[in-house]
Amino acid sequence: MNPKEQIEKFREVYNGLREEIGKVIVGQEAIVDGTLNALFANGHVLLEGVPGLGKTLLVRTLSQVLDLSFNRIQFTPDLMPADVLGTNMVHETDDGKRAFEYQHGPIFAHLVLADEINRATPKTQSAMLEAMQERSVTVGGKIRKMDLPFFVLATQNPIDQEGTYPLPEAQLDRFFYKLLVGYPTAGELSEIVTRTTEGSSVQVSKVVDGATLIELQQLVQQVPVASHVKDYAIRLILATHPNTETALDITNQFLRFGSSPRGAQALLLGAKVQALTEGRFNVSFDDVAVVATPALRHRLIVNFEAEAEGVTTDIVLGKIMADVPFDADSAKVSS
Amino acid sequence: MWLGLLIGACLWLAALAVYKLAPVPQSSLLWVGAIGLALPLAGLLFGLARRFAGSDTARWLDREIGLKERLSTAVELSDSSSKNSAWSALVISDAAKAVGEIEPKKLLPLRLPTVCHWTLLVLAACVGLGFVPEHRSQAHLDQQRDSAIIGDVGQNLAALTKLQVEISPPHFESTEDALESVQELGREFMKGRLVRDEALAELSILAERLRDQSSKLGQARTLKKIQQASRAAPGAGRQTKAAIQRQLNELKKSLGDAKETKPEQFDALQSKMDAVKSAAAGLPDASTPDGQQARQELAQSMADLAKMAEQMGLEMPKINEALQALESSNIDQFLKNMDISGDNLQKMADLAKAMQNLQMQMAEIGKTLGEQLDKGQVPAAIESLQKMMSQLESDRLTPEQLDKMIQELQEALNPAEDFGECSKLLSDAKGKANAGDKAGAAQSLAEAAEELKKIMGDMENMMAALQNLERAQLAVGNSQSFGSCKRPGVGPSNKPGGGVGTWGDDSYQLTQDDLAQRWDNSGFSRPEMDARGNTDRGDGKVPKEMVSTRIKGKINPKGPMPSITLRGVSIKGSSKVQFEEAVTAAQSDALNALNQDKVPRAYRDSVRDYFDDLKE
Repeated sequence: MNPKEQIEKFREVYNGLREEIGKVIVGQEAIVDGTLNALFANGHVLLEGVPGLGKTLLVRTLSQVLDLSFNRIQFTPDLMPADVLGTNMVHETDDGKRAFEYQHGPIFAHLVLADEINRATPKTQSAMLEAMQERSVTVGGKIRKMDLPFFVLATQNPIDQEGTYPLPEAQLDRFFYKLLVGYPTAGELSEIVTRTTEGSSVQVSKVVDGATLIELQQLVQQVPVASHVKDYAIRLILATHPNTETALDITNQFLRFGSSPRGAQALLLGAKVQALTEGRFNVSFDDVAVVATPALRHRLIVNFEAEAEGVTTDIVLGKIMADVPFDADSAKVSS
Repeated sequence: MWLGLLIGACLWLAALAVYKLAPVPQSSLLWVGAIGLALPLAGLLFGLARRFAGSDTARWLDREIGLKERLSTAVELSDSSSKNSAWSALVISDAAKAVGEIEPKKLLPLRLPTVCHWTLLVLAACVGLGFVPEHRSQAHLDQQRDSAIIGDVGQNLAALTKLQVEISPPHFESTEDALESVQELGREFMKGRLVRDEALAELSILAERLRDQSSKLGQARTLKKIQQASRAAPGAGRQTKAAIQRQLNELKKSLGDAKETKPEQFDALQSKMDAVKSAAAGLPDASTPDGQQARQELAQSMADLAKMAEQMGLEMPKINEALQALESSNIDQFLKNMDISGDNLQKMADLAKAMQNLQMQMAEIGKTLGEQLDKGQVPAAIESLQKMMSQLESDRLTPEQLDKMIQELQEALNPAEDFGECSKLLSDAKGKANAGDKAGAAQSLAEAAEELKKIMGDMENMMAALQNLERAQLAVGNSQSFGSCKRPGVGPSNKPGGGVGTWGDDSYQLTQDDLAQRWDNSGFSRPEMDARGNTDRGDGKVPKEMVSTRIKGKINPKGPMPSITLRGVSIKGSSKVQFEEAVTAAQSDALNALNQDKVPRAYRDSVRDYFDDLKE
């Protein structure tokens, strides 16, 4: 299949997924697009929003439209890493002997929903680090590869502070996007109420299987990026590094830490998916700009002053994007 | 180009603003204007000469048309190693399709860019600023005026000196150097680099240097003598005896029978005529006894007047006609005839005074060659030498005349020492004359005359140079143009004033030093005048009990009159002259002084009022 056909296939799958998810999820196009974008970029998504906005429903619907295995892990404070990863258990063999046998944890699925991930202890949260980055799990000194595609969708509630454990920076950095789920509009809410209170049931169909998804993920990586567009992404990342030559004033004022290189990777991969979804064969500045906020907002750590003044990473990112021009001297960036 | 125009306009605005606020030279505006005009041109040339890379052009097109980086990515891919890949072909074909949809008209619209609006705004501000008057401090204005004056002075100095050299080329190297120095100073002034104090210092230094130079070369005394001669009798130092005699003869011819009449007699006659005219103007009615008596007295006065004029040798028919008009009680005709007579009398008086002046000049000229040289009367000395030469060349020269000539030459040797080689040449002439070599003596005398001419020419050049320098000093010092500063020591009538110092132009504002320089009135001599009245002034010594008295006066309410301290001499005894006669004579003198511009303008009204009061 030539790239043009692959791209057509990509768009067909993408639009199919949107259409099918749209049957269940009312509104929230940005969240759906962000989630699908991360899916094709082979990245994990952290969904944050108050309860009842359809986060879990979105993930569950996604699992239904994808012809992939799906596990849901409800994170609680007493959840242990072994409960997530699995453990060696003693069992009797056919010849009557006893031996350890590895029992796979719920993380072993193509699509994992880590519901309310911030309710587990950091120890349990960290159990997912290797799986998310390396696509493998080490238990009992043995590395076990995950089945691909592997996709973690985590949700968290920003308002419950009691009994929650904020995700460590290393954990956060492994999420491709952090999507903020907002309230539905009046029309959307009306539609939600109609659908959920009148006993109608919606059936969604499978759109894509794992092998096709992997193919499409590989296709995404082939999308060419012009050097000046890549420079723009890099300049955005560098602008988030406080107390450096490339830092902006707002960066020095409100940020404690900037984005890691994973941020740049997320920017470009997300932009590539964005380009393909728009039917283009190259990445534009606008593609980078569109994905910049969900890709970077969880990678920036604000300082005390920002917290005191109520300045969020979204505000800082907005200012950075306004101040960093699209087309600048690439030599300056390279240096 | 547009950016260049904007930068140029901003430059103009900035330069104009600076020019309005600060005293920058006007030429800087022209320079900035030229740069401002050149900038758009340079911008246009730069734009035309600039070569853009393909990737830059692609990026510009992406940005301008909104191609979402299609072109730039395609250009990069076409230059990369993967240009033959399927993806590259896809991207390039996509870009090509997008380029095919480009409309050049939209890409390069025929409209002025935004920068033009700013340029127009700045240019409008420039025009507005052009109407704002410049802010200049008084000090700067003074400096500008001084600079203009210095330039004017320099131009005049250079031009006058050049003209002087062309008219009378210098004969001696020192004179040539001096004149060249003056010209050089003039050129330096014209450059406008000097401020007032520096210019004054330069002028003083050069004037001093010229004087020193003259002194070193032994010309100082010669120069001083010639100057004194020209001041003593304006004309005597420059004219020959023959020329003065010629003028005298012409004046005598004009005066006719009245040639022996003195100017004072004319003045007396004029006074009488004025008295008669006054009496006639207030004549009572003829029908009254007083009127008849007054007419008789007036007729008597007229008869006396006619007799007096006849005695003086004057022909005044209008007086007789006036007498006839008086007899026929035609007072208007009488006054008219009297006015005509007065005018004629005044002309005669002027001629008489001119003749008296010439006689004084004639008297001033030395009788012998020695005297002439001693007084610095070079033309007269040359004339004397030429006369001697003609005598020597003549066959009719008697031994007595030769002896007298040798004697005269002997006496002239000492005064001639101030005139270069003249003394030596006269000595040679004397020796040759003694030896009977008349031709040789005449030749030496001719050489001496030539030497005198050269010295005279150079001294005149040197005097003119010094006068020009003094005039330049006055102009720069008083912040006046060179033309408005008269030659020092000479008044409007081109004659020295009658008083101490210079009355030529009372608008001079001289410093104390300048005044001190002008106090030297050596060389001036007052004409011998008959006493206006015999008064006993005692033994001429100041009594011990005399004390200094400060006399304060006032010309007008506008300002005080300068006060001076005088040590007076008490006048004892009684006058033998009638008071009225003395007053009339003094008034006549004052009127003459007023008419001849001998009295400063500011003092004229006061003098006139004073004598009018005395008369009343």
